[in-house]
Amino acid sequence: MINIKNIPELDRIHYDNNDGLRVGALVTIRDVMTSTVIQEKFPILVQAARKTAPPNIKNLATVGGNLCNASPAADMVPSLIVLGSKVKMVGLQGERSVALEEFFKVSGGTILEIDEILTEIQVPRAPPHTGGVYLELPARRIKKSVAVAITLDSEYELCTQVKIGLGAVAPTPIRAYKAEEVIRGKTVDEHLIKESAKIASEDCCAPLSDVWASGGYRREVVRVLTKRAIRQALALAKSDQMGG
Amino acid sequence: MEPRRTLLDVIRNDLRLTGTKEGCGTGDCGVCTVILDGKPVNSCLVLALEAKGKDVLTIEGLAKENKLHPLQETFIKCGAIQCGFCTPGMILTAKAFLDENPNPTEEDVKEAISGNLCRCTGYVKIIEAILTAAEELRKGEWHG
Repeated sequence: MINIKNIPELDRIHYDNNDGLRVGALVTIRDVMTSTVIQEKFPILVQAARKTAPPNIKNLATVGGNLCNASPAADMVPSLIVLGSKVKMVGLQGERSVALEEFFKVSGGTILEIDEILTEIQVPRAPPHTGGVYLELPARRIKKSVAVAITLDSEYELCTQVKIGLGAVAPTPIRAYKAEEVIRGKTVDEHLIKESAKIASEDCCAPLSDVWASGGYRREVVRVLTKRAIRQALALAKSDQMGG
Repeated sequence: MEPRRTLLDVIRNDLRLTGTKEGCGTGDCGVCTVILDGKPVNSCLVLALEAKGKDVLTIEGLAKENKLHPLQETFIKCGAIQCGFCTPGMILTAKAFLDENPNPTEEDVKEAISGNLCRCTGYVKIIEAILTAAEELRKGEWHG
């Protein structure tokens, strides 16, 4: 057993306007919640951190652990995905970075090799007129979560960029690419929001049916959460707030 | 020290301080809560070696000179104890919480103790006890 918790470079939060945000793997969930720079620049991550665990666990749990545990329900993941985050891994062969959505294996676990550790999560600076929201159904056994980040053009008319991330609806956290296509490049109205949410629930996820809930119910939760999250992210983008 | 031993194991079995309880052993129940450098943590999730050089407060260290901490007093007065198994962890979580937020709402208290399970379902009185202790502590007469 090798304890990596005393490597000081790994517990830092760093932000600058060029590189964006860099969060060390050992940064705790509580550190994310209380970081003034994250509160100001990426409030969607504060929303996600709040929902990650009870307070005592937040003092111990790390962002790196939340990712490397590779739970499809990990709270930090959908929000980090929609922000376009990359993860940096370091091993005997050197360094590499991949988009967070490529970090998880459908068969379980992560792409980390036996001699590698996750060292950093890199979050690019959010463009102007971006709104981001993280919503979840908090019920433990049937938890579902949706993160949405929307960027509008300078006229606040067209949706220039959108990412929708879903948690706990497939073997890994996923992007709802087809649902994004419905609103990307468009003037997003209520009709498109409903259409996008419908596609997220019908075409983008594969929820289980089990003793806790049916797959049909889980899809319905995805539809409702996606609809709400798009609406809220859009409102925040229009008011030029990243969301919070 | 065996590197795999938890802080909880060492507190109970080496130091013989059995006020810290063991419930699930996997971070779900919160009965093993201790205060590590001012922050409440589940001691079953901390390796003993990680606590080296840190300040650990268990329930045994809360009373001062035979005077109970206001939280201990209000837990008794409010009847916030049934079987008592969750009580040490509940009180320590509440202590660290009130140190940070001396004037909480009921909702704040619920959030603060959300990682501490009481299987006697006695939360109403526990919340009442914590809010009453907060009032007592705001008077500033306790110097712990």
